[in-house]
Amino acid sequence: MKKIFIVWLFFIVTFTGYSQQPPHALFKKNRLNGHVFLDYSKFNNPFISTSLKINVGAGSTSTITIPPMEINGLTTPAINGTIMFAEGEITYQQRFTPWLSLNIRAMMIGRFGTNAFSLLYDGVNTISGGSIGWRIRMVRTKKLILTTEVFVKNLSGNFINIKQFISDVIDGDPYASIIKNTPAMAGGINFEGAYAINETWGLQATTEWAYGESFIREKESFTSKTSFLGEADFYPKHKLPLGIGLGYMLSSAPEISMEGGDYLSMGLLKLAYTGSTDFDLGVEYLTYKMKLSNRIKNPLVTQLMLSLKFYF
Amino acid sequence: MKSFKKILLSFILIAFSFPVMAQVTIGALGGINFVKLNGDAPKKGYYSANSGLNAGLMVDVAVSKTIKLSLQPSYSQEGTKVLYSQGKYVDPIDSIQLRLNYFSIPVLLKVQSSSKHFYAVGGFETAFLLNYKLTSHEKTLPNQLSISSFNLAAIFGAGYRIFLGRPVLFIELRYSQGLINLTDEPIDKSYIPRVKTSGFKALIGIELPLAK
Repeated sequence: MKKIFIVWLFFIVTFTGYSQQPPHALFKKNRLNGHVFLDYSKFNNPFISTSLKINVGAGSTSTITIPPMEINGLTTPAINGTIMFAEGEITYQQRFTPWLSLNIRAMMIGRFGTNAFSLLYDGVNTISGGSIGWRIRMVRTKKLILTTEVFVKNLSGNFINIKQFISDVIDGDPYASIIKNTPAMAGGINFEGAYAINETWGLQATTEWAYGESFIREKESFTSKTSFLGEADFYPKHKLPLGIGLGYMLSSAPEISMEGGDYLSMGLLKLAYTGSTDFDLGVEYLTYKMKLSNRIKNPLVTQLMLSLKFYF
Repeated sequence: MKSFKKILLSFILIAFSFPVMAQVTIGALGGINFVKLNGDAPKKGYYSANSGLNAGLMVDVAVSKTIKLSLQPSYSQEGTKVLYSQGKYVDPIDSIQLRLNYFSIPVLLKVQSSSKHFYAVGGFETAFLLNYKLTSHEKTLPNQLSISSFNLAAIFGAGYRIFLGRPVLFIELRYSQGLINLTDEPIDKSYIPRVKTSGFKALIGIELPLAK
């Protein structure tokens, strides 16, 4: 992980050496009080624009201990293993007026055990789907912008449970299926705010509330996400096209927790190239503790995301 | 049926009383629904779109320079195909088709962009079930489903206007997401367990401003 950061920093510094920097005033993206705001993978910033955002990433858990389990009278020993994550997301935002845009998002997350036993226990879980919503700018002053989004999201969880399949076959279920598909539709609202302290420093905050179906059938629930971010852009004062963001998020959204209902705390560090008038390019390091059912100890997840956003 | 007549009468009343006001547009629209059911599928089965017709009238009332309130009573055919995976065939078998015929009343807001051609359209669509038909291999199955007589969907879309003198031709693409369950039965006991509607509507229409 450290090596990737060093390579990234090297890339930024090298790039700075011979790139022709455009005048900062020409930036057509997220700008308030001279500060250009960064864009993050897990939430939108409050600016209304026509843009295309692509996030890809991968991560893994710390070593987890899987307790002994019983499959029709046979008990397996307690074992250690890890779980890998892979994630991809594409978001298109179409601006209609300076205060209204349509936001369309499609995403897929996969989670799978890295060895035979963790694969047998946890299977391969994927969540795919998307959301669509209206983004409406409520307030814009020299330093502050507030935007709300009203959205619906339609997710589909595919849970491949080998243990359950073997158990069903042994029990003589004629419809034993290795894949369990659970759709979940929810609607919600979020509020996004950004405040530019000066041209270097900025703050962002978001909160999202949604109500609807969860991946646990027969149960409708509220989910929420709240995040706070502080960031610095070194371009205006030092002509260094580097942005750094540091954030914290508390979330129960099922596309992150994959199970829903439980809150997880996430820490985030972002490094971004801020020298372009037309795109954002950044890498994010995310870490959070995940609550997984029937584990002896909740594992720590570390994830690296590459984030690219084009402005039209 | 009585409520259907009342709604139609109210619409006609609104349509003909509005011309006294400025900035009213009337029109007609039609198109194709690519809406399917979405939710719990029966075992070994999954849903695919069963395309249908959409036709209706519209009245737009200007709320501001860029925003219009639009009422669009329509006849809307929605439904789904249920495909089953069977061991001896590679592809799933198209086994059951459900056709739902609705009288729907979308209440929408249209927001015009600065170009005047391009606009956003969003709001809610209430729909009243007129009848439904369940078929399998062209044979009608007995109506044994307990389907809600009312549907409510959220609409997200965009459109483009082409000015032809006074009349205006428009094309629209809408995404419709059902917000309430049409059926709420256990997976094991129904062809169509807990589901909502979702999908796209491609529409074309003509509008006529009543006052300049």
